[in-house]
Amino acid sequence: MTTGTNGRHEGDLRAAFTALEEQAPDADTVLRAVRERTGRRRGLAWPGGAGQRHQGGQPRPPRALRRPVLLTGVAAVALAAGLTAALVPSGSPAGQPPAAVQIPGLSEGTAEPPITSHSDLPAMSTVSKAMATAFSAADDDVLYTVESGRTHGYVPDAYQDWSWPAQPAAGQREYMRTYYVQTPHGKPGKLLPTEDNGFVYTIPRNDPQLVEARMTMVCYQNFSSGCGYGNTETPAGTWAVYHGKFDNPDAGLDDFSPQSMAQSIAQGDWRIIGRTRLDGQAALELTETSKAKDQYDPKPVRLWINAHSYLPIKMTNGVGTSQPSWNTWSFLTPTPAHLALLRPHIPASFPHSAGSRHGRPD
Amino acid sequence: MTFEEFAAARLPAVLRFAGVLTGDRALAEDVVQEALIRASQRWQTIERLERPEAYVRKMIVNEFLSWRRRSWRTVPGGTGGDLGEPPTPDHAADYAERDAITAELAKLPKRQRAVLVLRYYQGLSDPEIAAVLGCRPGTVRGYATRALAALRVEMAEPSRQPAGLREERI
Repeated sequence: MTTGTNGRHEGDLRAAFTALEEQAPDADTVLRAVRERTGRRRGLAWPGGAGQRHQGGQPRPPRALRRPVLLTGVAAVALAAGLTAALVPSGSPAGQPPAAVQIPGLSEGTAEPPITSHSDLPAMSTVSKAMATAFSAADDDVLYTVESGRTHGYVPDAYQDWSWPAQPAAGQREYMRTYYVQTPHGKPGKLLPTEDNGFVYTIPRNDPQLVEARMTMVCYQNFSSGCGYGNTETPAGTWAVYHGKFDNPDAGLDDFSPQSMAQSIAQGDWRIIGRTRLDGQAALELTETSKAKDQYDPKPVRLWINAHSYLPIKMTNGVGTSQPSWNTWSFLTPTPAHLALLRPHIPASFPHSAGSRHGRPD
Repeated sequence: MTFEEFAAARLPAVLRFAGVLTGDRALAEDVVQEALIRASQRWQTIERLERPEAYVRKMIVNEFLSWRRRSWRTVPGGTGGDLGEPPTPDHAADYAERDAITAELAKLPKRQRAVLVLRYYQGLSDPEIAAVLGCRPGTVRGYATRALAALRVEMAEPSRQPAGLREERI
């Protein structure tokens, strides 16, 4: 096993997992509980047996993926103003309880607008091509995504990400920011900031493991004693800037890249249900088909795209279950106000920290 | 194979998997219990699958991910002091390092942790992990990258795909 001062390797991880096998629960204890819960006193419970629980709680869905929301006209202006005002967390004065983070649109969550028309729907091939074109036109925008969910009626956490350019090319300078909030102890409560980090790096021409980057980390005191990223450690209640090699963030290469999204539509993974309006936009509502290789779970899975631009607006899955989740995404024009959102907010009360680095050589 | 036969033959391995996945015996117990209740109710369907165990493990992963969604950072890091005896003799420094990794694993978002367990404990490929999690392989890679960065683990070059660790692949 390698020590921390020389960097960790996969073998260290495997060794840790092997050690964790000790956390395996006792088989008799588990089986006894299963028997009791299924109404059987002897043997295990089988299909058709008495005392079956209602098949209510389906497995929770994968946290779905990140997508952009196209905002146009009034909606875009309103959201931009709201973002600037509401998304940036404020530090709490000493002795004051931390302020909750307000995320526009989060309360709507999984609300699904009614279908207004089932006719005059475009062909999926048309949607696929138009979407690819629309993504290209928006590749220099600021991409803003929100990824969240609901469990037993409340929102336990949310990711907000900003990246610019939205679809970077090799050699371009990329700015990325991730702001994560959650409720204390995973229970209902205020969404409080956990960490806010920003990356600046040049998109590499190949796909290296490491890239040279500047990383700013703002670590809040609400949940942990520090925030770790790569080989850095930033004490809670401080901020720090690091220069060096970090794992390649792979900006613009996730599953919901324009290419992969357009491709999944082209190959029949989605079909259009009808027309509707969402967030003030004329929208097409799509659902995942059984052809999709990697199905989202639980169902239903819904995707809304702008009916004019064909850019995606929102995706939900598991609506009707106890733990639905959703993603929204926006393409924001790169105005000074929007570009400012790429910088992590540093509360005035947070001192600068030198942070610490260990392990991996720079 | 009946559910009884499945439990008799495969439950210990499934329980070890749950222990590694959750890193917490009590949570593993809860998660496996819920998954097995549902599995037992669907067993007529599950037993017809080519690999029933893989399906049950997938249920366990989903149950784990749904369990108090995203409680990372609120989970005390732990010192690893309750890990019991290691399977093989080791040096003190290695203990400390292992415990440190264990503590940091507990802080990872659940989905990132699940990806690492499926990759490095179960030995699954990214497409296989994607099938378990219901996402795209590229997303799996993203989770793995973030998790490895947080743990400061360097990946072997040039492949990002680890060799299988366990025979019991999902």
